[in-house]
Amino acid sequence: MTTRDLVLIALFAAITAVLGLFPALTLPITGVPVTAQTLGVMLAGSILGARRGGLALVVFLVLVAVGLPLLAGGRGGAAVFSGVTAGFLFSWPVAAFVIGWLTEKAWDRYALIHAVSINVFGGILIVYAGGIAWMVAVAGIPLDKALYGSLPFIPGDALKVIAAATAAVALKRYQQHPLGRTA
Amino acid sequence: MKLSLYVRRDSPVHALPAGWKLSLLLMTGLLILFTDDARLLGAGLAIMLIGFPLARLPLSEIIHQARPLLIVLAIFYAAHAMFTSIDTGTVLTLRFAIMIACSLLLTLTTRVSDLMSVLERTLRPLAPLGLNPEKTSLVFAMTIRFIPVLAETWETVRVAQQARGMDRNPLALLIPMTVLTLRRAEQISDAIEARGVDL
Repeated sequence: MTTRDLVLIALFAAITAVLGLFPALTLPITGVPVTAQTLGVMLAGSILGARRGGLALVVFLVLVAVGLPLLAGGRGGAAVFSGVTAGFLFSWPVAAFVIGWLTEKAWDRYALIHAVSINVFGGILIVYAGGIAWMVAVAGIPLDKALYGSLPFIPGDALKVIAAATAAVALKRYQQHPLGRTA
Repeated sequence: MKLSLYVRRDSPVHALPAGWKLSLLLMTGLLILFTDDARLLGAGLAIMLIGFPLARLPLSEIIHQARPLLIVLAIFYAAHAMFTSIDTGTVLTLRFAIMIACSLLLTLTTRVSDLMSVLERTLRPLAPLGLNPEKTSLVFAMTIRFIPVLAETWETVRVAQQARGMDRNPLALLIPMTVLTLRRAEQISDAIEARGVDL
């Protein structure tokens, strides 16, 4: 890891934290906040690649765990990792890594269609798989109920996928994308 | 912006070393898996809750942090009562409640810097595996420093795009934001290397 890699990891961990400052829309009925923070997961993967992207989210979650209130709504601390929805958080680094890995694989022909499919897979499918698996395995919620309860978040996530994918492709076109550098 | 959940008080809970509190949290997490007895778990929760008045924490801060988790927990309990059985629901809810109380207590009574040094000590034996403790600490320190900087950048970009009537378009904010961040990465890493920091 070069100094530049370390700085990039820290910057994207910080971006994810800043995205948490946006007022979270709290869903009626379920009370679970819809946040902009999974956008940070998608950006870290799509822009930094597998290793740096995944590590950026690990750094972010460690800081949350040691007590910085970086999650949307000023939440943080070890308690958020022992709740019913903790699986979503644990899936973030994995999702960023997978998005990054696929982005690296597709790099030579990386266009909006690739960026969108990669982010749907990593940023939606993997995050929900992790979150729902945790709800079913740890919290004992029946699978269909867990799936049903997660549906209201999909539209917001679709918007985030489009935002992250467009940004990543724009960076490649303007030759600002870190993965495009032969360093 | 307050960048820590730590609440300073003079109490036995605060005085307990961070490493001990962390080990206690992990042990509690294991112990509660060994029993299905709701009464035993209820007693455990009651013991945990004594920690809060003992730590002299302000009720408002406890509520602010616990509320979102408790709302989810309440829905969770209701879902179990409806779809599986009340007994399973009670046991699982009590387990989660114990863990939430325990970790909340840890977070509110322990300095971030103390937990970070516990983390560094724990990670030190991993150095031969390629995990450089100096690099790790630098990344954590940089991230904490970058958060207010990036929040400011975001505000600058927003105001600039507002002047162009573009502040309603998320992409008009996101793309300049990422470009500025990537450019800043170059400047910062150059600055670190120019000062001869050898990592």
